[in-house]
Amino acid sequence: MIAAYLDQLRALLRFDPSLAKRVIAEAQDHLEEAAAREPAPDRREAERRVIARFGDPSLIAAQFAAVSLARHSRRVGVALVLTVVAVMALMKIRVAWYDVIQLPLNEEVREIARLVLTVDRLAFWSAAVSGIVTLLYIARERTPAVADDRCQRYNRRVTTAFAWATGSLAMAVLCDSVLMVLRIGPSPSNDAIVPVASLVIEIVCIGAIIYLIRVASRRASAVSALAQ
Amino acid sequence: VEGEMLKGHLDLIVLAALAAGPAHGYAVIEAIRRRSGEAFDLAEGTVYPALHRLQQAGLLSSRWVTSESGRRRRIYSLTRSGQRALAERRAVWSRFSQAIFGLLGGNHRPGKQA
Repeated sequence: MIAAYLDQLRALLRFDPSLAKRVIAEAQDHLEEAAAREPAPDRREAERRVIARFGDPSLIAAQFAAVSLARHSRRVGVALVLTVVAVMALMKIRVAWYDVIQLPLNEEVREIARLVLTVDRLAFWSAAVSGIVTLLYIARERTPAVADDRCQRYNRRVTTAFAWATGSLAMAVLCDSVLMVLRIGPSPSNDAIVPVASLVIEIVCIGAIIYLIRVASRRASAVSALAQ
Repeated sequence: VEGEMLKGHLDLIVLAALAAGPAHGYAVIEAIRRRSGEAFDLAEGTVYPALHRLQQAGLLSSRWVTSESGRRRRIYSLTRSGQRALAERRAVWSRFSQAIFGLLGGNHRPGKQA
């Protein structure tokens, strides 16, 4: 009976496998101990009583879902802010590299470069501000106790803000790529090693953030199904 | 005790149950039941999400241990922030309950706290 109950709980928590593993271990320990101490005529009756006292698995799963979503949002927020810092550092490295290899912009592309640089700065600061503000919002808000409508609204707000910040950051990296091509030209050379490597790192970081946001969206969908 | 009232104060109840020292989930629930004079009728499983939520907020820490029976269990304890939060919430609760008690016609003593 306990095994069947735990299977039900595990299935409800499948949106977060590591959380499910921990919760099942704790619930099993609790139910086994409670059943062993329960003054019941037989083991079956003891298990029935302790399961009844433990509560409805969907209610428990909905409460854990709220905790899981909040934890994941925090993780995405921290990863996003760290990526913003990394992108800024890599931009500085690229600019320093262009000085070292003495590679100024050609006169004929200066106007385009100025325009791209303006978009680049706007996109970068939009990503930085929205990322930091969202992280502060997450840190300030109390974790919802249950995956109810309020929790889902909170998650929608946070996911939208993350998507905006990541989109802005991707735009900044795209502008950096255009600026690099304008300086170095389309044909590869040794001079391009540092800028290309730094851009690859930025793209990988943004890819990781997009993956984390997708995981958050999938979990949010699973949780909204639980809340209904 | 009304379920909604209990839910609203679950975090404080769990923090208070851990004030005596580290404990695993089952022991926390037993402490709540014993110290409340069995007044709280809460679904035992709902204490675990509260423990996770409080840990996430940095008010509790936890670690796995192996019990004498060989079962692995998670032990929770109050962090420094948890101790501070408990003291603050205890003071707020004390002021609130005195005020309600006074309103309901009890012996309210202005300015005094428990």
